[in-house]
Amino acid sequence: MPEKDTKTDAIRLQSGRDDDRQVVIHPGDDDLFVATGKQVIEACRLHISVEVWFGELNAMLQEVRGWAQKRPGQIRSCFCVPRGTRVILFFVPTTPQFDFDLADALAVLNGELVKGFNVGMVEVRQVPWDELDRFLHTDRAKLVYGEQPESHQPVEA
Amino acid sequence: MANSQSHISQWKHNRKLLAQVPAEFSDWQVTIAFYVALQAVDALLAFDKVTRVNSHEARNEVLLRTKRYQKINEKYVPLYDLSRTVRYLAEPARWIPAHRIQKDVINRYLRPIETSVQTLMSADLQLPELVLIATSPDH
Repeated sequence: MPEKDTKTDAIRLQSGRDDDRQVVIHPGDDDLFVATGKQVIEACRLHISVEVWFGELNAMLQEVRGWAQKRPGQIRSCFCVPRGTRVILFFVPTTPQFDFDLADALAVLNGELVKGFNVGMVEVRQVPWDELDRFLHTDRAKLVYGEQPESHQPVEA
Repeated sequence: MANSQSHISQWKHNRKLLAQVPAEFSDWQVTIAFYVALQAVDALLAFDKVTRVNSHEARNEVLLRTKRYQKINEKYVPLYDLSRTVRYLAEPARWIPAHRIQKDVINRYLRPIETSVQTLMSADLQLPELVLIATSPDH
């Protein structure tokens, strides 16, 4: 009879209860990923393993980084945040005002990312540097490109 | 789900309000402009018999993944983004100055959405031109 490993309990994620629970995954190299419970469940729904989902996410973020690097005059920073089943990309323009040309380009990028990478829904947002902490925890978000602000406790919108 | 006609009524209703909002409430002009667009989009989705669109997330996904709605999506995404951000800012006028709303929010985003929706529904709703209460450029 095979020995039962009683030391390892199954990790259970329950839809609803664990939707906002942070799941930290250590894929073996030095990187680590944080996703929401809802995203891990969504990866199963997309019929891909969580590992493949993270591979897709990484490839997408690389694409976004390259895209941002081509626009240094327009983009100050870009952060990635998991929220519910969505991946939200927050772009900070170099200007203190909403950049309409950047917004148009982001809308096109949004379509390309959703169609090009199997990560579920992706949302793009443009937010001001001065009030960044209204929208995300910069110390928990993944910095995709640009400058990291000083850490503040956010009052999220 | 409400029918297309009900959404068209609400679309017109929101438009009427938008035209009456004083210029000093430019942040709310943006928010109302978004809800004008949302009713227009929902009118089209109801017309196309697209069901189960009961959240922003679901609506955004349908717009993003459907080729027929591509043109609308490219205007709707920035308007959604702007309205979601501006309502939470402590200094919304710094992010979107009042004098840019007519040109860059109404004419650049809302108007093309309304035109595309009518084209896709093969309808001419005879909507009056949307002109916001004027503001001086230094605001």
